[in-house]
Amino acid sequence: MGEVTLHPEKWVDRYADYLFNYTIVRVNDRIVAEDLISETFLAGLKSKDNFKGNASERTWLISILKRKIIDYYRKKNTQKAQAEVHITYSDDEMEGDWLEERVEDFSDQTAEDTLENKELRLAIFECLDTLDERHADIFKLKTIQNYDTEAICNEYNITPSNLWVIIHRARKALMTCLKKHWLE
Amino acid sequence: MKIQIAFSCKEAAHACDKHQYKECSKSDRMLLQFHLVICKLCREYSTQNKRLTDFMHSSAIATLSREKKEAMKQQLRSYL
Repeated sequence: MGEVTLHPEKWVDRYADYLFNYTIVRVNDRIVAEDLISETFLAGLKSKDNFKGNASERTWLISILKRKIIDYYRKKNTQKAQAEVHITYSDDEMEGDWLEERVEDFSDQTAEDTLENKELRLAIFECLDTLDERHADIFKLKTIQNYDTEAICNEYNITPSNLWVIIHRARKALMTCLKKHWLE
Repeated sequence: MKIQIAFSCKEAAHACDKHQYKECSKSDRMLLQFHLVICKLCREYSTQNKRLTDFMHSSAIATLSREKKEAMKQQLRSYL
């Protein structure tokens, strides 16, 4: 039947970055995003018997993550409501400095993150998925996290010329893939 | 020591890749530029390569740190 089974031991390597990008545009806070992803993985593990195998693992994890994000905002809103009640007791210095106003407003920051960029990120992830897992990891370390050539070489026990061959192949594959999925 | 005066396409591609990470020496950059003047295919590669670099930057794609991923893995393992 080609049913999908779960592989929790592979979740972090396979989906953590994807989920992270999904979350970061929605909560705009690295730490919060990291926590939500940890929680998502754990929740997934707990309810893995409910997995019917009719969606991909990633889709299933995203559906859990979505609920976690909603919960996060629900909690945040309750805190905000409480803050409004307490404000009457604050001292003169704080006058007008409503706690509610001090709750971060992300609308400006998200405005910069255009829909186009979000879609581009998704396209990049789809394309990264087509690469060999190790090559994709090395490419991500070098390109996204700006690791030194030397550091990556030590980590993966490869020579700089190995590294550049991997980078070259990854870049070529990504260019071709993005051309197909993004530019056309 | 032989002084190199021209790049092959392979060397040009390598220099071009390095250039995307600002790890290309000045002399290699010059040789690359010379090569690009005479080679249409490498010019195309260079344009595409630059575009990929721009995409990676403008998309503001982010990844979790290795440490964080390791911590998540351990946490998961303890529940497996």
